[in-house]
Amino acid sequence: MKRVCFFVWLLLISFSTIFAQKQERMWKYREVEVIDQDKIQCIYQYDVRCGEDQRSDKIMLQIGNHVVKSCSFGTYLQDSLAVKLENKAYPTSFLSKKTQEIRTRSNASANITWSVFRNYPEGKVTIHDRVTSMEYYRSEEAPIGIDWNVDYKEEREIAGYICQKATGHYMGRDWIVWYAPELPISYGPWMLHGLPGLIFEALDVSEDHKFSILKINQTREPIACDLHSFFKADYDQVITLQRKHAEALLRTLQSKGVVKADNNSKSQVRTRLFFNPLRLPDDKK
Amino acid sequence: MRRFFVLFSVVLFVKLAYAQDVSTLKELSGVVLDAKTKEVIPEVVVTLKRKTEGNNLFGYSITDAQGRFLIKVKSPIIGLFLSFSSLGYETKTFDIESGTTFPIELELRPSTFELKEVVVKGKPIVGQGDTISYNASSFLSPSTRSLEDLIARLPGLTVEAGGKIKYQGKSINKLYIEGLDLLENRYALATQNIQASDIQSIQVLENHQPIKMLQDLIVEELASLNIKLKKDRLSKLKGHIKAMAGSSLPTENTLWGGDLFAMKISRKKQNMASIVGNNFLHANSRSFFSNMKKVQQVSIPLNPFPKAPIPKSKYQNPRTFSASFGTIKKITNDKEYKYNLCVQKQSAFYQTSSRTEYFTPNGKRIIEEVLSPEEQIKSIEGDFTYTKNSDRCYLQDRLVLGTSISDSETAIMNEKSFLRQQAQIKELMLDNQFSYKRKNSKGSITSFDNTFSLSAIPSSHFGVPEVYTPYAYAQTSKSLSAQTYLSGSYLWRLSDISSLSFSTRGDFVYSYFKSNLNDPDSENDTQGGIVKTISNLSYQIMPSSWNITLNLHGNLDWMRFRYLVLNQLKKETFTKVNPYWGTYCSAFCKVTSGVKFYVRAGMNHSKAISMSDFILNPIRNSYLMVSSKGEVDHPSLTNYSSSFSLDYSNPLIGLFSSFSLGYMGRTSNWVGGIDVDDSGISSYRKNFKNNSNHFNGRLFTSYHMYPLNTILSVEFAGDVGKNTTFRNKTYLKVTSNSYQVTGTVSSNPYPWLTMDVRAGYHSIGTKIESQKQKQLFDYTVDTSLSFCFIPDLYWTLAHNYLFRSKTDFNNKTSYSFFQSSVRYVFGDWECELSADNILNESRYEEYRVRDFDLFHRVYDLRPRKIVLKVVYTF
Repeated sequence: MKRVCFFVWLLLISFSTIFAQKQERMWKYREVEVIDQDKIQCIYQYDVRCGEDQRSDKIMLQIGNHVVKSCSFGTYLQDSLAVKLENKAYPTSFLSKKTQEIRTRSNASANITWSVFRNYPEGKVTIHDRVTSMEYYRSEEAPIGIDWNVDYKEEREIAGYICQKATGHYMGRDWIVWYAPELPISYGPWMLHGLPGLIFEALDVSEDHKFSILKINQTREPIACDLHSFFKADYDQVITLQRKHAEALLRTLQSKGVVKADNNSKSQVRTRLFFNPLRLPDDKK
Repeated sequence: MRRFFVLFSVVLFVKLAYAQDVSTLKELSGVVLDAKTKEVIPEVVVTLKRKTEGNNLFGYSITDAQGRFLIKVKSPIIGLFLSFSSLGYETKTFDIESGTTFPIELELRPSTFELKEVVVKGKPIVGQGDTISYNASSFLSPSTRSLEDLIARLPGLTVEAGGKIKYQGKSINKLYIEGLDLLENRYALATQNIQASDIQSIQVLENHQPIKMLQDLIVEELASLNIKLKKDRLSKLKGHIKAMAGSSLPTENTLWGGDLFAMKISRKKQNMASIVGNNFLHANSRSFFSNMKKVQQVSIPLNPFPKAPIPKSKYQNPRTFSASFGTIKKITNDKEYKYNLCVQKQSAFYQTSSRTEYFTPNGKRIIEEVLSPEEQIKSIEGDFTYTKNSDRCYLQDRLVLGTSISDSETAIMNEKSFLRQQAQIKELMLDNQFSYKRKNSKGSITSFDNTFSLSAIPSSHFGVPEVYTPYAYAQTSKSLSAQTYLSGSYLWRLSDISSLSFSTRGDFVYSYFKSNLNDPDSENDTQGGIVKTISNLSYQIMPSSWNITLNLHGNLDWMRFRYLVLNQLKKETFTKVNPYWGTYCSAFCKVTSGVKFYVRAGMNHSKAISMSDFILNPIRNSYLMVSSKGEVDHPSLTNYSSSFSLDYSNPLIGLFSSFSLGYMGRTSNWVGGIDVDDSGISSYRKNFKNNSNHFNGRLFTSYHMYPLNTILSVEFAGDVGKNTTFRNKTYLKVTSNSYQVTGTVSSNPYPWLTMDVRAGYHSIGTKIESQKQKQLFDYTVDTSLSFCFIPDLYWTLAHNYLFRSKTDFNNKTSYSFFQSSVRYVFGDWECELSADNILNESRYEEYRVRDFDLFHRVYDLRPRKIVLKVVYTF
């Protein structure tokens, strides 16, 4: 009997250890709130240049019934995943697999951190951005109109739509944009807006920033807003902080001889700073 | 005073006029409401235009959250109109008339909105590091149907007739589909069957090393391709079913055929199956296993006339049946297995009839002749490969089993004679390749490779000539060859940037060859073996962006053969021990991502070689390559060659050009002996001496005019040379020259028209000492036009013309081939009716026999074909 008891006890112990091993740590991925549903999704190719370095990413523009959101394609994928996960906790292995999938799908070389929400809250523009991976900022501002000069004589066909040219000054940069009067949507990528048609292409005169349309889809997907614990700040201050942080990081990397691994797997010490914000703070108004 | 009054009135008038102008600054305002719910609509685009002036925009506004708009306009507003548009509402216009008062209230009726979904073509070519990505949609045209057609249109890439793909003039190393290599050398099965419309992009991976653990150690010079499918095509069963029926004239043969191709591609698992059966098309050799290298079609030189310039596929009606199936599965990120099975049977039987007119001094004679060759090849082959490819370990085992039988039979019948010959070759093979490499924590690599292969080739020849030779003959031969290669190596990672490796390899080859002819004088019997050992010591340094390798190797070969000397009827034993050495040095440097060069130089006991490639990418995606190559056999200086080439390509402006110059010399000095080829089969060489000197040059330029969808290309190539042969105590001097000019225009200027025109001139001249110069001229014009006047209906007209003349026999051949096809696409279905006709082929020869001239004219009767094809793509 003693022997039987011992075996039963051993069996129980071994089961419990097996189950204990199977129990994995649970984690909440990201908390989001669905603020609207989109009608149209536009994906833009975004090319940014800083000196000789050139990087690119895709920008997602979600036009909803009330809110218009513009962010990087990677952020959009992350937010969509978060909506699907419904703010519940999941095993870390599952989450790491999903985030890996997002990383390979978004495949971006430019690190775009901003998300712009127009008309959220009503009549305001909200910008979410971060300085380090821990410091998230939220800026709320009144929308600033753009005084566009519309040149109806210049026409160009982009993706089967006849587009017209317009030029304007916005946030410290001069923009040349091509919009399609056929699509009565007065928005565009990033914070560009206010034309009698959807913006198909936008080029900064200095040729540092360029948006060009890749895809337009009619959809019914949720527009999600991040629920991080944000610091409230003026967006110009956020850009100043980002610049300071990037410069400090570069100095640290250089002083420690930390190398960057690029695509060619040959090591090289990082010597240049890649920082060229879309918005120039000194010349905002 | 009067003057003052006038001035005053002018000033007043101007001021009034100005005031009038200010007063016309109209404010057009209003509210926009939903006609159903009577709620305000925000974000409505309100534009102010004049009816007669098209797009002239006088002003615009976007309604705010309260549905209000406001447009301020200076010019007179009569004749203008307001247009209100918003997604989900019908667009409404509002004419402004003289009595119109603002603000206005306007209602918009809701409507369903359909966006024409567009996917914009991205940049045609994007370069990132060592990867160049071609956006497939930028290179599609109505005539681009398969992946192969698409690759042929990509700048820098070419597809050869057999389906072989080349990048910058060099064969590609591997073809991946979504990162997996299922088909290896048989990639034509994929490239010819995958639809071009399923492709997202094609990536060229330069310097791609397939073995992960060697990625920083060994630089792969050949590029690989990776095909990316559109996302919605992944993990779905895709393919096509094809049915063909037709008739061939004048023999009135019924033509039939069917194809099934199915694939299911995902990033983890890929399946591909293909079944082909028909009685009039040749199977592409690159779609089948390439392991059967030893089986060759037996060709018997029976046809006494010069060969027809028409490719066989145009008039032959072969029976083809093949079935092939392959699977690759990624078990984990590093491990994968794959297997392939392929069965094929191809038999070609065709009859060509010719009518020959001889103009002799005794009058005209006409001879009708029927030539009916038949070839048949049957083979079955399968392989299984398991691969583990991680950062630390590489393991691959590959087992190949196969058998094949190849038969050929030829008969010539005319009023005077009947001649028949037969030949058969059977082959059985077994191959196992094993490779293992392991990297330890310090970065040192141990590797072991083993290949075992066994092949048996029995063959027989049989001939019944009745007129040309006085007796019939039969020959049988048997050969058996067993080969094992064993190699092992160790690589010491001395530091982060240097390594030393030692490898040794032993080859053991046994071969047996016996042939019997019914004539006892020509019996042949050879058996023996070869043992080869090769040892190699190499030192490699890899400072950042450099890779230099120094290599030293020593070989020892031992061979022993026992063979029958044909003319002396005695058996002799031949033994040879051959030690030799060699050294090789290579350097690869990547100065920046835009500049890189390879330098290679080496010599062994008999040969010295040096090669250098300097590659510059001055502008993004452009390419300039200067390469030179020199080779010499020493100390006898028997073979020497050198070449220089300059390649420039810049896809952004659409220019690709290459220029090369070369020289090749050869002096051979054989005194007799046994020559053993790779399969271990020996042959006996007689005394001969050979000298040759050749110079050649080539210039190729192609220009892609992107906005016009037009490609222009021109090629000049030439070769001049002299051969001197000393054989059987006589010298023979042959001088030869050849040159060719080819121009191509390929254009798709309008959506409804695609045209390809190719014109070429080719000349080969040979002069044998003290004889008249022989010259062969070819003129070719190939034209192909495709029209698409009605959407989805494509009409193609193709015409090939060749005129060939030879000076020696005053021999002239002309041939013209005409093809027309109509293709209609409706959804997933496609229907094509094609008709082709070889308009004529006639040859004319004139030569002297003894004391009289003989004129000779041959008309070949070629079949015409009409085929209906129905394809369903899923």
